[in-house]
Amino acid sequence: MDGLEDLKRREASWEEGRAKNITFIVTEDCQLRCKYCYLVGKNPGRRMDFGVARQAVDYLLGARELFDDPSVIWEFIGGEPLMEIELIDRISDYIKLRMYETGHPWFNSYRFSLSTNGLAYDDPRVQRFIFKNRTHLSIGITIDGVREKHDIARVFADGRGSYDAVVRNIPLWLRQFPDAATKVTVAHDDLPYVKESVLHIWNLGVKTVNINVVFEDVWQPGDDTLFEAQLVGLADAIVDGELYREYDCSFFDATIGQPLDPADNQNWCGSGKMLAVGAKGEFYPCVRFAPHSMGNKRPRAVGNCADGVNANLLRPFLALTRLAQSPPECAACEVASGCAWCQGLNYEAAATDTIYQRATYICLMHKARVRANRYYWDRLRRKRGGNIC
Amino acid sequence: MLTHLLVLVDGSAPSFCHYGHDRRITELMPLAVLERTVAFAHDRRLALTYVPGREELPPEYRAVMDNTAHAAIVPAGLAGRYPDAILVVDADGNDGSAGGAAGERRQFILRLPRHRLAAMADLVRDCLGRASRLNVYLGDIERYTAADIEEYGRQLELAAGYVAAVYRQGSLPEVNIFSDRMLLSAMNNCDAGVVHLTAAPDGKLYICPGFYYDGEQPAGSLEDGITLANRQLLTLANAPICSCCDAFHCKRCVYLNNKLTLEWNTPSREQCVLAHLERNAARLLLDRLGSVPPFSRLRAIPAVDYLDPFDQIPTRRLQP
Repeated sequence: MDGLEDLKRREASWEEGRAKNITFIVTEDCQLRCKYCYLVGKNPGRRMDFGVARQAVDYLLGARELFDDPSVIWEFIGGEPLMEIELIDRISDYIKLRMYETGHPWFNSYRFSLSTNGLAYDDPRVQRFIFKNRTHLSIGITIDGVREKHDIARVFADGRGSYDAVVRNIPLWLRQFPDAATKVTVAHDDLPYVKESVLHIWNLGVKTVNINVVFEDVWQPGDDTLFEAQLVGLADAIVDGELYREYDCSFFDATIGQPLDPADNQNWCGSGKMLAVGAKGEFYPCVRFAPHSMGNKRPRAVGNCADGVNANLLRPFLALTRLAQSPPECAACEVASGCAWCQGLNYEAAATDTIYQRATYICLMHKARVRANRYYWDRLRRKRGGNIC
Repeated sequence: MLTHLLVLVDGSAPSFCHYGHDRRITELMPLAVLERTVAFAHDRRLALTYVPGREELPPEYRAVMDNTAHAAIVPAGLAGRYPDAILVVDADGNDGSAGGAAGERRQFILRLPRHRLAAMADLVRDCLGRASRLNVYLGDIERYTAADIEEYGRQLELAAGYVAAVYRQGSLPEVNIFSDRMLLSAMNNCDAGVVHLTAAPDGKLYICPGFYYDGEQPAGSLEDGITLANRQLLTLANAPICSCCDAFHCKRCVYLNNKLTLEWNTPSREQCVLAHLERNAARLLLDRLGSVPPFSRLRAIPAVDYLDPFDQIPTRRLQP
């Protein structure tokens, strides 16, 4: 399942954040019931109708004064998007046709993007879609690490693990997308497997591992210590084996763990700068605000494809600052840089119906990561004679 | 810091601010609740402002109210019964002639529903001669169109002419939409939920009357006190758009914020544009009065080239 960190990372990797990210929620169904997934309302009933998608595309391409970013990423998400590959193919064809017919600047600077659980990757219909769009396409498959870790969380509805069903498609995926990255999610139960999971994914041939701990309220006393030990072990393996020459793990980042200047007041999350189109044509600031993401709060739409974007409902998202939503201890935190948040979870966990109350469940986990980073970069510096680049 | 408590003695009292409601049948706060409300305010040293309706209150209510120092906001038609109260002028003229004895200057609130917008300047002119202070509040802002906003700009221009004439004659009634911005050098907003709360007939506390009438969650009760979470979001420090704005007179109405953007701390475009039309009208009026004391001593209001401060925040595009 895709997350906000992934969206942010991908925007940075293509067009350096100059691209508008438009996400079609083509289905709210999925074959898996991943234990950490924030999509708590998966259901087979709500899938996007092509007519809705067409209306949304027409609006989005017509409202150039609103959507004047130089590039666009058309993303398809679910549930599991590949369950609706024929719909995705039809929408993609329509997007290309209309961008061309309308002379839209995006025709010369667009990508399609999918993040999948990988179960249907070798389906002939999926393969046809990949071949047809191969020059404008990125696909991520989620593999969570070693079998033990993957199968703790990423299970079918009957409880079976999905590791074997996914890993069999990794070679085909890497032949088609050699630079592909995967996304790994870490929750309480799978903490003991972090180190070996990252190494395992690299051994599978996936050189970039984008990995994060869940933002939700799942962490228990002692988890930070265990997490730090896992990362220190991973750091040793990377430095001793000189794996840093070829592989990348997003847990290690030289810029995290510094105090933030009050002037550095940007919102971390991209919610609201992207737009998600719901199955019935509603617009959301991101998928996390759609009905199937909401456990105890009302979904928060910011318009729909018939009436367009409601600029007033979008304003709070675009006006968000770090300090306006952070508690005093976060504002004064000595290791604040790199500490992330999810606007959707903030909203869901907030004491009132607001996006301006930052959830801080990951505080200790972030601090553990910072300590492990210091260990890693110190070891690397010493090994490389002061040069960490 | 909470210093004031507004008491809706009658839920059918006409609106005196941006909020609206359609309650016409008397909805008296039970006497026992009124007594507990007064005790609540007394225990916390809160200043009381009562809001009775159009109907005369039973004597036992007046006895409880008059037992403590207080202010009142009443329909203008009741001016005689409440000699010191702030008078609410019904723009539709339902309360008869706006009250106050001849020659007496009172504080007035002119609440202007959208359908009476085109009469604003004339209504302001009519109030000026009798007002020591006039607060103009627009109703139905949630339904304002671009044409309404344009009309408001025209009405401000006309009203400014009337105000300028009065000021030149040496009379100096304050008019919130003009003189407040002239006199302020920092934000001075409504501060509902921070400085004042509203006690409603149901015995609950609300951020302001608008939250009560819209059926929003209460901010507390007379028994439990304030239980409102995220109260910091009512403050200027946690309002990213407002904290970089210089429409100092703006009410920064958290009720409208909540209604139009779903957040207490985020104003809608309409609120910002209307406040800036007022700001700019105040600037031009101050320029016109440049040599007239005391206006000659006031600091000039700088020109700005925007009507919505949101547009000044980098990367915050997506405006219609």
